Amino acid sequence: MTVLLEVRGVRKRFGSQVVVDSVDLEVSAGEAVGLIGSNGAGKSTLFSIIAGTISADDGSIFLEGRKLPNRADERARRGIARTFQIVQLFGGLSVLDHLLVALQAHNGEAGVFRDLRGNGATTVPEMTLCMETLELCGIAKLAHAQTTMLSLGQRRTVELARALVARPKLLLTDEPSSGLDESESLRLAHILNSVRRSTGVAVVIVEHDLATVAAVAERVVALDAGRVIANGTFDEVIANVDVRRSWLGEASA
Amino acid sequence: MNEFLSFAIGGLPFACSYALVAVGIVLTFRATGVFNFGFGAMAYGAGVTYVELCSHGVPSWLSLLIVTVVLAPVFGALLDWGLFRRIRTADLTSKVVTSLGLMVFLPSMVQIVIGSTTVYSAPAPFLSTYFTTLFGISISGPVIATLVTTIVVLMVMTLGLRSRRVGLTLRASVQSPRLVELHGVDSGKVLRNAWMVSSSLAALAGCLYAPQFATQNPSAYNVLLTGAVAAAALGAISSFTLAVAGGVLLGVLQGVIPGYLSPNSVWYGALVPSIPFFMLLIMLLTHRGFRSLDRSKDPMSVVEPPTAPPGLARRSEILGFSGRIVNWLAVVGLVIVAIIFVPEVWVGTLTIAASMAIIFLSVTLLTGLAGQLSLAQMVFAGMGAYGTARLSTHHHWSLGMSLIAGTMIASLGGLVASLPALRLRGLPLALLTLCFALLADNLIFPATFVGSGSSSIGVRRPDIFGVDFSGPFSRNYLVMVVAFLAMTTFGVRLLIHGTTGRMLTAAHSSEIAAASSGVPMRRTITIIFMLSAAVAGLGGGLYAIALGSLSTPDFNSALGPVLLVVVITMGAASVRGALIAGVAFVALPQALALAPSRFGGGGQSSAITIVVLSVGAFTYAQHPEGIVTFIQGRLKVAGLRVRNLRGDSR
Repeated sequence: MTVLLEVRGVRKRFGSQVVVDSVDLEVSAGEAVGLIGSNGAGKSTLFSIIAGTISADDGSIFLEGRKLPNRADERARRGIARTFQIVQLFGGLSVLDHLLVALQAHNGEAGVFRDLRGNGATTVPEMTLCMETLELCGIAKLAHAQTTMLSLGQRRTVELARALVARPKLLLTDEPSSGLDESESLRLAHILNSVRRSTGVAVVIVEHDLATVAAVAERVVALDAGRVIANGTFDEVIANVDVRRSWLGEASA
Repeated sequence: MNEFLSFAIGGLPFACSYALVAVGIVLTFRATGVFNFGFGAMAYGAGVTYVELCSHGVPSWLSLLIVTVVLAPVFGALLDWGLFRRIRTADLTSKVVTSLGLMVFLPSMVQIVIGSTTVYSAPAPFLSTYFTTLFGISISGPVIATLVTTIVVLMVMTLGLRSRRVGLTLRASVQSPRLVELHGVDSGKVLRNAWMVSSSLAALAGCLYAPQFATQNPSAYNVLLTGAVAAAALGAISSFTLAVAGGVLLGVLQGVIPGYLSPNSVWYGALVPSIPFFMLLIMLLTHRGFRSLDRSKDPMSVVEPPTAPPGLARRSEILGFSGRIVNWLAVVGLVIVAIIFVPEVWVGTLTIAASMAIIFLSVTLLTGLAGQLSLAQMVFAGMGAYGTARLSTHHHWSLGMSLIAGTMIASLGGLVASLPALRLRGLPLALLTLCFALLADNLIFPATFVGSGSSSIGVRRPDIFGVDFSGPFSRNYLVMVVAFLAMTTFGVRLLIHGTTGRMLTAAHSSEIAAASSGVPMRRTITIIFMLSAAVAGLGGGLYAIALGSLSTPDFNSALGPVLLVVVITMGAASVRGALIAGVAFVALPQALALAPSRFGGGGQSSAITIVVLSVGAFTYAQHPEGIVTFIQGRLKVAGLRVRNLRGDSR
């Protein structure tokens, strides 16, 4: 399998504290990787560094062998999409509008000049793609709903649909199950799996809920204090002594 | 050394006023999240009241006490109760707009109440005849009194804020009034106290400031405001000590620098008034504290997000499709009727109204669509106007060409102004554009290569393809301006309803999510800034041609906030607001001037216009859609009710 994302020696410190310490990470095309670790292990920071919302002090990140640009919006247009731990939706826009924003921005087809040429209306292909994505995520009925009326599970699904609409190569999803109950989490995991099967997108998922990780990830990477301490299948990593000690809180026997 | 000291002492009264207002700004900003642009106007009101009291024979010390201890706290409490309490959870833009409303509203209100500018020169509150010599430098009593008063007041305040009971609850209320309330503290009372104290500080500054001038006019107090803003900026609007230090530094600089410059030199006229602006500019561009100023710190903001930007109204169109067609047909019909049948005397007024409407549209573009606050739109208009006038009159370019060139000059100005906007948004950006506007006022427009100093420069009227556009009452020229207006309106509408509008609404709501979705914010904001400046420049050029001659007051920077407030009052979310604002802004003073003086006719007409047009800024937080859309919505609801009643009776 070809390597999609390559993270080389990424370091980040906040003040005197090293949050991410020389992390290497590889994600193949179409692969699903789970990122686990205790709170403060550096998962979310690593995530934001890959997405471009935080800049690393050191190290480099490649997508398909090419170095990534610095800014988050440029990275998004190169094919990295993400969801947020605290849901970030656009107040006042309908669900469909959320997808249109992401789709048009990603394709570089939104902007002042398009509008001034009189082509500001949504085209048929754009609309089709948005509706397809909504159907894929199982929320086609909500297309014209205002997001403030939705439940947390639905909002997370809208975020997912927005991230997927432009058919990214890599989807970063940050604690998708936080705040959801068990059945909602499983539903979301199910959606993620079916999306991955039909679009071939690679997924990196940060997650505390092990059931969700087990359901989605093919490979699991464990972080502790900013370092990678284990890397392998779900069962291997969970059985790893270091992981059990640092994260599951087991005393070193 | 002695010379230096005596110059410095000359600057001390200014230093004290700057420091007092700066502390007031920091206090209210930290306590309530409102950056009060209105403090200059409040100081003006206090100063005028003080002068009025003195001129009616009240002893000066008593006047000072009445103004600062009785009237000002009451006014502050009123402001809190009637205005700022209601927008506590609103976003920064709403708060800025509300305070700008105060800045625009108050001076005009004072002028209406008191009559025109007060001429009586006021005595200093204390020791007005006392005189002493210290180390060989003569110091007058008023200077000593000012200094002592300021120091005492500031020390009492600092001690209060250090205390656990007052200071701690205040700081906690700043972070999250709602969380503090959950812990059983009446944060409303804390915030009201902050308003009363800062209002008092502004009033004291006004009373100490007033005796420095023979006449009281609002522009002197705008200088006081910018000085205080620059002083507060020294500590990124969060440190009292640095704010006081900034005020003192600025006052002393303003005393010392002119002392060493020849009054006839070029530097004296241009540089000296610009000292506060330079200080503010440097702080805004270099101080990192400003970049994080805009982010909401309230932990509760996750639970209850800030109110939506004005552009949101576009997603809930109030009129149906047929309604909109009828609406536009009515507008087009009205315009045609107006052009053909309007009496000769009103042709000029209408032409100016149409070109003003174009300038107003530039605010719709930048504030309504992109959610950015610019106080420099009048400067861009001025750039277009002077560019057009200069090129056509002095360099004999054809009028069409010089109009295009003027528009381009303005858009370049927009580009320059947008560069800091890549990093700054909201309040810091508003301050920066204010800086830009005041610098342009002092440095660019009076320069001989732009205008011709204080005297006016003539502007030619066009003559294109043999059609005559000349003469002050040319109907042909009116048609031309209206055509430009229609084009601009159409363009702005395309943006609001197109992909740009949707993208910017998204970015306004969550900039991080928009960036992660690939929205190119920097490029879009830069383009909108340039377009908006170009539109303002076009409007300015057409305005200049309509006037036939240009002088500096035509594009005074003080008009910038007025533009913003008026457009927001009428509604920044759609083009209708700007169109109505343009007509009202020009026609209302004309109509008032014709009215009998009992109903506000005659001299006060422009002040009344500004008061009337700025009232809506105070309701902005609740109704960001503006008066026009609000009324339309109410009419629609009323219409539905009538329809329902009819349905019932059948």
